[in-house]
Amino acid sequence: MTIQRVNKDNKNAISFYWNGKLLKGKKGDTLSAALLANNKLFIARSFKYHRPRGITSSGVEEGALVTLGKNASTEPNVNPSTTELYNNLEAFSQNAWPSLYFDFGYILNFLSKFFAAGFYYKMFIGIPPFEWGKGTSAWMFFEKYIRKIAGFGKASRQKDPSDYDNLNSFIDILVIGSGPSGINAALSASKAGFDVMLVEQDFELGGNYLNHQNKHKLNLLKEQLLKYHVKLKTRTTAFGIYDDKCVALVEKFDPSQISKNKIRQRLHICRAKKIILATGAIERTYAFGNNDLPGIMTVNAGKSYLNRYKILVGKKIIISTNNDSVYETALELNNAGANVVILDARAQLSNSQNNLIKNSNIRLLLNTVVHRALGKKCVKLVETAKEKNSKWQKSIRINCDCLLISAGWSPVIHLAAPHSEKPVWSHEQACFLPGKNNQDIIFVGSAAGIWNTLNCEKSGNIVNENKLNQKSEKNSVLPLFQTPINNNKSKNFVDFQHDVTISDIKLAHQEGFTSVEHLKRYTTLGMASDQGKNGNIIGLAIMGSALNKEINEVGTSKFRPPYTPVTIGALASRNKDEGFKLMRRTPFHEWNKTKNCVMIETGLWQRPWFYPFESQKLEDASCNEVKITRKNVGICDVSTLGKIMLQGPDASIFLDNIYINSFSKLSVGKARYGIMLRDDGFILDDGTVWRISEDCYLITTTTNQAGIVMSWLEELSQVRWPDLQIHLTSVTDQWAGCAIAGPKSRKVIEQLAINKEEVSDENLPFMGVKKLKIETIECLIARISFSGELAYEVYIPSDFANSLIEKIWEEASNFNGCLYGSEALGTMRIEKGHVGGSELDGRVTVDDIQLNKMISKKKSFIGNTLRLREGLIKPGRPRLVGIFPIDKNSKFKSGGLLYTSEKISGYPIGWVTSATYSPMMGHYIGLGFIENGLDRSINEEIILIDKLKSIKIPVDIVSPQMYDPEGKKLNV
Amino acid sequence: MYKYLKRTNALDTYLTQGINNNATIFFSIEREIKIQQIGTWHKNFNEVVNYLNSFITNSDCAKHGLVNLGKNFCIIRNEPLRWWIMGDSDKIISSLNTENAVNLDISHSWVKLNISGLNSEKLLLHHIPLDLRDKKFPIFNFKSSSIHNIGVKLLKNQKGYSLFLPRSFSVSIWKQLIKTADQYQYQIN
Repeated sequence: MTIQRVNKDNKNAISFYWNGKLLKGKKGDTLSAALLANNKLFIARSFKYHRPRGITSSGVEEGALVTLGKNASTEPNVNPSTTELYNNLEAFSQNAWPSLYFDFGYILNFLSKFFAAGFYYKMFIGIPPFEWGKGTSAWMFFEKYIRKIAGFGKASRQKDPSDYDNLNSFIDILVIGSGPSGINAALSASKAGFDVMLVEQDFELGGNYLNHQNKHKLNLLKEQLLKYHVKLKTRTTAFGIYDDKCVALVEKFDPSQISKNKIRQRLHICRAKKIILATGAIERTYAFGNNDLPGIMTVNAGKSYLNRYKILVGKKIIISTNNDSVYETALELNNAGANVVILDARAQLSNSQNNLIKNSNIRLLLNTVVHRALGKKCVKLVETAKEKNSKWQKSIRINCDCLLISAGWSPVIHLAAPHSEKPVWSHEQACFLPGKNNQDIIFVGSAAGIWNTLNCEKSGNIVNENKLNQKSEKNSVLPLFQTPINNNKSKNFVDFQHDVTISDIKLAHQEGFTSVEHLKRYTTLGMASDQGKNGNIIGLAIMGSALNKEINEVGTSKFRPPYTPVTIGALASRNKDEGFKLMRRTPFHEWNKTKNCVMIETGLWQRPWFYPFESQKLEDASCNEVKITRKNVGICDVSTLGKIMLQGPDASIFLDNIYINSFSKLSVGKARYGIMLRDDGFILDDGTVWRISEDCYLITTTTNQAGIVMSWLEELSQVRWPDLQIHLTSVTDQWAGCAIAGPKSRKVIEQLAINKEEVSDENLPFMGVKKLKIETIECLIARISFSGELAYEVYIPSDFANSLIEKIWEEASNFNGCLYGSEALGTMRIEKGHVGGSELDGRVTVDDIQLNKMISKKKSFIGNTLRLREGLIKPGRPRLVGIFPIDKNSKFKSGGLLYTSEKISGYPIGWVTSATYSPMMGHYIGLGFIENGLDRSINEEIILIDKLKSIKIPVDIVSPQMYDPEGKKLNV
Repeated sequence: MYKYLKRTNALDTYLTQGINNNATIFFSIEREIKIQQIGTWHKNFNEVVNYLNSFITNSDCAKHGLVNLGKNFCIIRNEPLRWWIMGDSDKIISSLNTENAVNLDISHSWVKLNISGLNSEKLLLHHIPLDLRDKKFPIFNFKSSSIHNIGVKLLKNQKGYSLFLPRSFSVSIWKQLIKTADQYQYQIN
């Protein structure tokens, strides 16, 4: 093949690398154009048979794929025909080893009989005679080799260094495609006063205008676009239309600018009132022998490479066609210096086409198609077939260095498919036309089956209502999907990317996979990255012919987004690293960091975990914190607890409805522990409720359930009891919560209060609540304990948290206090037998945790009926217990299972929910559930088994209240 | 008074002020914001609207999302049965009939981030799925939306926008905004 640049000047030269070799291209080239200009015909190996492949098109329907970049920047399976060339671009061929020209995998081409469609279902059915017809060991053996040999490019395992972005936009009219119809649609809408955005997947505007020799009209239109303020987005592909006219676009940045701002691609969600699809049409080929040889491409590709990139794709060009669209191109190629032969499958031409070529030296052969292409690494010779007296026979051979095919045009209707009725097969046009859809998605131009450029431009005048119902044009086309003579000597490809041939389609038919969905999946037709843009219709036609049905009777599978491949990076956009999960910080966060705090993620919160002294590890630090707190005083950041303000005259009624115990009789200035159930009777959450005033309560929840409880309460208020006069407001962020716990906690609080008496045992009794001014700032204080010590929870308005915690810490330090985190807090609550999230896992009832005495018998509440289901109250149900190891040096963790010594396998009789080393007990302790709870016989030996940690130890079942069971420390 | 006592905004540590002559986005924080929430019920709705309207002229506190401007405050109906009063609301709160409505101070729950400049709207569109065009979101209007599934509120005024961020999420959201603003160049006032 002798490809050459028509314009040989070196202006705008760009360097790039192909398989490590430095080559030259031009600014404005695609990678395909640059490769062709360097006579790189053969650029890839095919998926299954490793056959040589070359560039087949100049657009999204390209069959050959390449890899761009190296190492962390590797991007495999890239379409070279839509890749913009830039300085120092590195591109590599795929699926060949050790090299493109000498590939071991090519041997598969000679073994193709064994690799027909569905071969893996039939070949690997067991090693004879041992597992003949069954067993999978043969497949398990060969699978890894097959996966190594087959396939496309390889993705990098390294972290992607690029940044991705996302953007929302709102527009009146979104026009997709900037060809003749698209540009005119955008202008007509903009002139009528609409807000318009025009998107184009190419890096240049113009669509098919770019393939015209004369660009004058395009330039004028571009000026108009700027004048009428049409928002323009090039390098932007609309890859899907979703509900409510929400269009997903991926915008690729100018590759020469990427290093400056690091953003490589942007996911763009565009919401439009109307969508205009000016997506054009894709030229089809047809199946004949060796139709995958390098040097065979579409006619439109030949036109595009000549007129846009100034590359003449051959000196001896054969054009095979069944329609009128090629004649202008043939003349242009001829005028550029190529010898052109046209093989037209039709019996006669229209006058206009005849007139086009009559004064040229273009040779025309009517009633003629390609039967077989011949050549080794590229096409050299074409065997034709001619129709004579209604019979097709082999005919002459013609030498060539390039074969261009045009077997019809397929409107690009994919984007609207999920929102439209089935596409309609047009016999006259030999293509699918868009099915009906709502009026908000409008097809114009070739996407609507309009072929003439002038008519496409007119069809873009969408503001004129008469033009809204686009009528397709007549096109003189003879349906042609495969060579008419059976060709068993060579492969006739239907799908280039997946190496699907005519014989694969016939095999599917033979084996009964005749529905379009089965055909697709059995042969993998249309399942590669091109999604069958070229091959699907050929496949349907062949199956139709085998079934004696029309194409539309065979059916179509539904097009699904994305229209072209989209990187995972673009879809993830900014939702990675810190952007993946936005974390919450307590108001004390910065202050905690100054105290050497180690944080832990609790849901979305960053929560203080422990405060190591020098290089202390977790266990040592938390034990230290427990000891100091239980001996003196400790300060803990409890801001993460959910806080909900309940206000209104019906607040008490609401609380009585949701908690198992009564709150309507709770006095102002008092708090109470409460448990709320789900409708099904299981525990939803627990917490405390503080009565601030007559109609105002502060509800606290656990950290993890805060959001769920808030949603739940809102639902109850709005749906179940809309007549109750209440308001619920999350105030979790309003208050910074600080627990002050330990025997000396009152002394600390006394230093904070203006008047010590305010916080005396009498004025602030256990479960008392009041407002307290600390340094003129009004705070809330409650005497509540989770640790089992004398303790207070102080709620400070968040913006004053950093100031007041300094004051609190100063006072606590005077009493040899410490800061403690969630680890120490967890240890102390386990010692006290207080349940937490590990116990209240959604499968536990009030009876299970031995708090059924709290249940009010005087009122109904959510969950009251279903908690009494037989299965939930039956004797023997697992109940909450404490767990001690018999050998006090033993260690165990939560998640361990409990068995009796007589049966230590199978379903356990209990499990451990929480475990910790207890400084107060001097050994490991745990909470958990066991059948019959504390009613188990004390003579029974219980074994704790944790297979994941190789633990198997005998344990004692004890009361969960392991430390200060009488609660003396609370009432100091 | 305690020597360290001061009101600290959640973003204080993260806002490094400086001049950028190429900035097309300007950020600033309002430090001592005051927000009072008033909530009522269906049967009391008209009374509360009339009460609130008595504090402002030529406006309508029943209109959803409208920023009704008073002398040193504004009143916004941001939920069907709730209003925010931002600014000096003492007079309004002190004479509120507590049988018709309840009030709650939520001044510390939110961080108010002001964003102005040529590309302020574009910056917001990176994160907020809201139509910010004037015809859809006129000046002195208020809307609820989300950034990364976190509820935020947006007020449009003659200078640009005020973005209300939940306090605990404000640092995380701020970091995302700054990362995006980088491509447009920004300045923190």
